Amino acid sequence: MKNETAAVATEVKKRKKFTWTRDDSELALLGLPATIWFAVFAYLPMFGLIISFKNFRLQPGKGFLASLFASDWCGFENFEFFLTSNTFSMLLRNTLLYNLVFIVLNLVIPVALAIVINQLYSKMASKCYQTLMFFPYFMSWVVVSYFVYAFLNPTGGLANLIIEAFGGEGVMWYSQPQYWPFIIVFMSTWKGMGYNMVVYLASITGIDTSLYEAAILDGATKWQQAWYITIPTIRPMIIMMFILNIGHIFYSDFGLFYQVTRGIPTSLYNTVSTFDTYIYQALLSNASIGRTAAAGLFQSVCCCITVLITNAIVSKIDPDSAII
Amino acid sequence: MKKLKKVLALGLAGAMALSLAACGGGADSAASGSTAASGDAAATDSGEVVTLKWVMVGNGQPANYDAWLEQINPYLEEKIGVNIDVEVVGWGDWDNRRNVIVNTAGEYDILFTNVNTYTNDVGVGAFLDITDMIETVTPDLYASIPADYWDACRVGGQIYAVPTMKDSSISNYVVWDKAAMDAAGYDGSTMTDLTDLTEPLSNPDFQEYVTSQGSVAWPLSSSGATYLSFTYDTMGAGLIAMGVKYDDPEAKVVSIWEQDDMMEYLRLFHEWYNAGIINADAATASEENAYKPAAIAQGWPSAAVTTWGPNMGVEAVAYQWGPTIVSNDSVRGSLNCISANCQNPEKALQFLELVNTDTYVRDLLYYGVQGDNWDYTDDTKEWVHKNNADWSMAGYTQGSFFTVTPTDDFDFNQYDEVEELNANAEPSVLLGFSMDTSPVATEINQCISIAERYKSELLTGTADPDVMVPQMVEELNGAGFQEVIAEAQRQVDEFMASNGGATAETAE
Amino acid sequence: MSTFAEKRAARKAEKRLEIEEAEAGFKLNKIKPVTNACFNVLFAILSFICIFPFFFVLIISVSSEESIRMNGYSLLPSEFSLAAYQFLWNERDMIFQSLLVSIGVTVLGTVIGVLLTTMMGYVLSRPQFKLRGFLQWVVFIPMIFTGGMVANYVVIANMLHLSDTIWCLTLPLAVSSWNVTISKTFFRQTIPDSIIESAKIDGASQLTIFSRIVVPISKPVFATVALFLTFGYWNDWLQASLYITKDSLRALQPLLNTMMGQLTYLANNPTAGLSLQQYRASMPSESVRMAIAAVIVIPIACAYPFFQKYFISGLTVGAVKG
Repeated sequence: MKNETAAVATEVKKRKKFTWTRDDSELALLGLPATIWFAVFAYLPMFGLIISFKNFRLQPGKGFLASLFASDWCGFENFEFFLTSNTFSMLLRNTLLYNLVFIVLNLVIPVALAIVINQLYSKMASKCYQTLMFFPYFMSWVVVSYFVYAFLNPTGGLANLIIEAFGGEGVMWYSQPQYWPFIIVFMSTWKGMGYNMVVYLASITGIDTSLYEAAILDGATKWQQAWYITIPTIRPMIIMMFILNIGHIFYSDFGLFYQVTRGIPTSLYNTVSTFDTYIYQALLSNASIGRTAAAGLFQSVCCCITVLITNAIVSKIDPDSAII
Repeated sequence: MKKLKKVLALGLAGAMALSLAACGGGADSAASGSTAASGDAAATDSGEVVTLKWVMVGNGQPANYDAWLEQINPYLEEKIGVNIDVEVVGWGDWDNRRNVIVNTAGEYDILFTNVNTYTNDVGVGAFLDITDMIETVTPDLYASIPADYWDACRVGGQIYAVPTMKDSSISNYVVWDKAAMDAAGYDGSTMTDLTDLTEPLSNPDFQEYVTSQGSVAWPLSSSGATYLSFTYDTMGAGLIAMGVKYDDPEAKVVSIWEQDDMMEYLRLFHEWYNAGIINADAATASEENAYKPAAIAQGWPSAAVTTWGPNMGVEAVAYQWGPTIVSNDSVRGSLNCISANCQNPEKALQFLELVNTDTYVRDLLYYGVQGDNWDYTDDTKEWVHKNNADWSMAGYTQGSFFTVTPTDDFDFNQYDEVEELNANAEPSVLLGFSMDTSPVATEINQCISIAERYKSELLTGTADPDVMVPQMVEELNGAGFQEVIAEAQRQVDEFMASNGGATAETAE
Repeated sequence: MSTFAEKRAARKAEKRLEIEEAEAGFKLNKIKPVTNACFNVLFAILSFICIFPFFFVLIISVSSEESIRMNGYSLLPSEFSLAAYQFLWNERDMIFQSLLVSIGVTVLGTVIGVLLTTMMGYVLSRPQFKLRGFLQWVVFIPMIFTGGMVANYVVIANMLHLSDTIWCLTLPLAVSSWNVTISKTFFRQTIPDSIIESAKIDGASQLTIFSRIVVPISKPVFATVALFLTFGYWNDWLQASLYITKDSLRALQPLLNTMMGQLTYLANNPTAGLSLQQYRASMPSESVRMAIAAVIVIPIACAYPFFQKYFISGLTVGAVKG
């Protein structure tokens, strides 16, 4: 089916490369509403990017836009507070490493679970599990942090009670950095598991059953079916999700890193600080929209470069799965 | 079906295109300023009624807001020809909402603000300079607030805000659960220094009593004991590690946490922490306990009866600890600023004058709808009886507490005490000085992030200060702390040279 | 009249066939009972881990204030109390109003969002479309670059004047590059080009193809996008905190956020003194906040099976055969 698609595509391309057809007009019309949406709600506000390079001052009697254009340019001054920080390399390291782990786990675990949950006999049970696995997604990190605290609280927390019941010695969880990479990764996977599974679930159910029928006639085992039919068919989906996630590799979930750790205690600082938590702490007081914008722009540019590189590599190997 | 889809798609496209066109025009109107903010009453001289928009933080818009407007607006209209429109933003929404409306310079005439954002927003140019206007347009307002408190609102020598007269000076009190003290047989009134407290706090009877209440003797949350450094003026720089002692005549900018008195406190707290007087999870506890057997709190003497005791559900006693100080930070706890784009700044100021001096206006703002939320107990209008607690405006954001009619919950006016404290407060040497952080902005932001990180563990006694303070200072120095101090000192010296004499005078 | 009945019967038959086909495929494909049991155990454990914190939230919401004060957040409170739900019941007008707003915003936003997103996704999935390359960039750039909160505010509040309307809660979140890309990839996977080509030869316009062919065979796509949008709208509080001043337009999540923010506000303003701190007493207790958190989660979690029922296999085959 894929070859067929590609063949049609190239043939079509060859045949009518520069002629605008009725078909094109109709498609353009279909895409118009969303294009207008993007123009208004995504592109129009992009003048906000200029704030990064401005020393923003409101001008008397003028609105935001006029003030923005009248404000002085200040070069890269707004970027300095994080670029020249001693902790900059540590922050980047943490942000990237955590994200890499998240990306891998958010691919492997949901895909595996989606394949497995489709095999359950009882559709009722399957639906029930799926619903329950969604619950974490709806709990804000603040609420989750209460729970984690009830579990890890040094005095009377559930974890320590269990350890002590088995004769062990309680752990001061919030001052022991060695545990936190695991806790963070666990919490992140826990929260996103149900959500991330849906795409693959929907994707797997869309697979033509005749493919499996043919495979069974050939005597393929369950494992072989998964490996040779399911995964290749949903591969474009997996690759796309991978690229989309790479697009956020310089961002981190502030709630996860800041609230779950209870505001990042000093002893955990080097383990759980990310770019976003640093920005938050540095701009806690004395914030300016220029600096906030500069931090965001820096993350965007880094992500943009990473995504374009990834996309270029993907399109070399499998042009059909690239997102651009 | 087919037709319907087509129509739908076209309709959507059309709506989008329209909105796009609308914003093309919108760009111009945005440029011409937020004229809409002040309503359509631009002609003030002709005696037309002006509608002022006041944005403040609180518990959200009151349910009976319209009924309230019907009470306050006719009164205001008659007095000064003003109608008001109040927007009460919920506590949790405040930061975002304030941020956008300040930076877009619109939609408000008067805005509540406080120490966290005041200097920064003045720097952005959001607020109107009212230095001259307060004296000429609203002399009563000017007279109702002592000069020290006006000085505290100065940024770069100019005044941009009307301070709210409330507990605007800092007095700290050691608040005890009286039952716990009785159990251990102590009298708190003789203890003037924190070191005196170690004995009762570690007393077995005291400990036993508080344990039975499910608490430790001195519970703290992760924001820590910020009061330990309250005698230092941090110059509005937002950096808690740098300041000037409030009574240092030479106004030397120091690294607060390295000072002997601060180190003593931190060691004492660490000792308490090790002795189990402070809760083991203090550095990570996000919420304060409602019940505290012993704590330091900012307030006034009778607050033990009116607030602390009732809030804890016990009988509380309180004794003052340390001096009463008035500094920029303490006054800036509640400020009201006029937008730089306000079309009727004089009216806005007159309105604020009324809020601060007219008892009826103040009562309406503070208590809500008369006859619904509250009533005067009799015709003398000396006492107010609150019918319910539904009014969602936060009184502390509005205006002077000394013009509010007291409630009949107590047979005295607790704010008389506050007024007296304010009158006798010692001004900080740097009253009226705000540091201009822009020359060292990068360094300051980096230092803030470092200090914020160490704050919880040091201010809760969790960490040994003899280890952690040097470590923090070393890291601060790496981020340019010394340059920041030098720059602050340079500005302070400049201020002292030009203003020092004047400040000393007003302090008398 | 007869055509209607006929149509319905035909549709029924078609549906039965589909289900039979799916079941047949499924039976052929059955895993061993032991494996099934193991998988069930695995998912039971995972579900438990996922639902456990929610139980915890429920338990706090029925713990008495006294017990929270004495033992902190505990899984076994020493004393139960329904005070929090009593409180919510007393505020039922407000809670009910917020629930209505939540549902209204979610439904309206999802409908608009699904339409815009899938139309765009479909357009991008057509390999021969001339503007495809251009539109792909149009979609890609906002995924990476955004104007920021203040700029968005200027556009939505000052230029479009959408503040305090349902539009400022729905429109800004209706489309996302993420969802468009997902639906594009879905369409590439599930719609064979041959169907589209044959429909075009029959003279159908792209609008007809989209509404008559693509929509019926791509239910999982629509269900997925709709699900993501629904969740996004339900969980959102930022839009409300920026643009909504009227309480009548405050949904549940913003309500909770405002309550959660109160204590943070107090903690961040130590210098405001007792005149601020005294408001602590009037703020909702922990158990009330947890009760609201529970009220938010339950309806939306129950909505999942509604979307999930559209994840049906075998549709493509049927369409091609037909």
